[in-house]
Amino acid sequence: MTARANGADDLLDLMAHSACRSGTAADPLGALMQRAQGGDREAYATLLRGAAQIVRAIASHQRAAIGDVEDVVQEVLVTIHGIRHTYDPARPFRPWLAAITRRRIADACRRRRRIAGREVAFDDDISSKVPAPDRSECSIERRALARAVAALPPAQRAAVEMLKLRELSLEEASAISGTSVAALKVAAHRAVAALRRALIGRPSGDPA
Amino acid sequence: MSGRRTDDVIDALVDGLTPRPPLRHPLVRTSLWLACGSAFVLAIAASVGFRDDLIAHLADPRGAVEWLATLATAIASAAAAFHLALPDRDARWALLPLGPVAVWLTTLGTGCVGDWLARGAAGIAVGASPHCLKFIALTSIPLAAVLAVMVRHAASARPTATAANAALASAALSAAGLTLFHDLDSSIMVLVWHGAPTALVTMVGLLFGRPLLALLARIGNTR
Repeated sequence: MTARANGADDLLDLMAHSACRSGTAADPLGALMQRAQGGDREAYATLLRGAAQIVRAIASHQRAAIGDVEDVVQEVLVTIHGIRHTYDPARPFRPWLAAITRRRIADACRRRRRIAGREVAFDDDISSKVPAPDRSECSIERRALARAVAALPPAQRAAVEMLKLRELSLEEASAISGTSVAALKVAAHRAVAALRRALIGRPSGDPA
Repeated sequence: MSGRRTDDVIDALVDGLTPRPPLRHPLVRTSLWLACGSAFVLAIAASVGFRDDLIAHLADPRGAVEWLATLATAIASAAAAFHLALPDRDARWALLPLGPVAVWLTTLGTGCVGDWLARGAAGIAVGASPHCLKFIALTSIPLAAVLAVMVRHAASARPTATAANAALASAALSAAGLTLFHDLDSSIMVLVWHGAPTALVTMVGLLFGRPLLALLARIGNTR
């Protein structure tokens, strides 16, 4: 990428039209990907770290439009993992990465616009209407919540920790835990119901 | 904190790495789908029985061009779908079916004019042939389903364009097969009872392709 490149689009276009030939010393990422397609984990780790750096640099140019740059980086990495078999070793790697990055950035921009469209400006006056929380009550509630989470079955506890506490997306949590997205959703739903019963008491209609 | 999370994601992806050889060239996969799809459609035509005037119909230049244009539409849109499903392929592959579709419509259009000149209003009367609609719609389903499974990775690339072309390919192949055993006696009938179902199936692909491919990708753990 030359010093003249500015903006995410310029960088993506440069990558897309990269003249690197695949499978040679001129396309080290392509060579790593080819080895990763064969199951070489070391090559794959190097490739993903390299790809993360590239994507981070590109996405940083559109931080205002996409919000969390690291979310986009992780989504690109997860996408690479899922469709790694679509990379043709006879073709350069960077245009392939650029295309995936472009789509994930577009998805992030759309998401952010949707969220911004639903949000309402926070009224500064509202702070005078909402009573300040009692600190001692907060610490009691936090301890009760921690005890309730610790009492959950392992699968439900892991789902709560990844999805609610660490705020990972379903795809990220699935990639990390090896559990399917559907199983994670079920575990999270059951965990929330169990926590509700433990902290508030059984609501009407709540399944056992 | 974000940096640590990305490292966690990388570690998890590396741990979950299994060998996954690259897909065959998209033209090879196109040929595979066309071969299987054609065999399926031919088998249906053979089981129903080829139309008595098939040779004469295909020997007639208008009939031959019309049928070949339908087939070319199926081939071009299938090739477009398999290419568009790959993230680094040129988006202009989506333009490939336009030529055959234009030839098909032009042939049918001139056929309508010819029928009107030869037979007047009777030549462009639209009779009922709802089983054409049913055949194309129903035959398209298994053809499109197989193609969708083969291009489910498009969920991460160009799902809408891929799905629309996949639907068009399936419908056009069905229409080409239908011509082999069902005779419609005027171009306006072909335009309405082959063309409209083909357009309808393509619209379904355009409207519902993205969520369908996303579902297939999730089932196949391709993201």
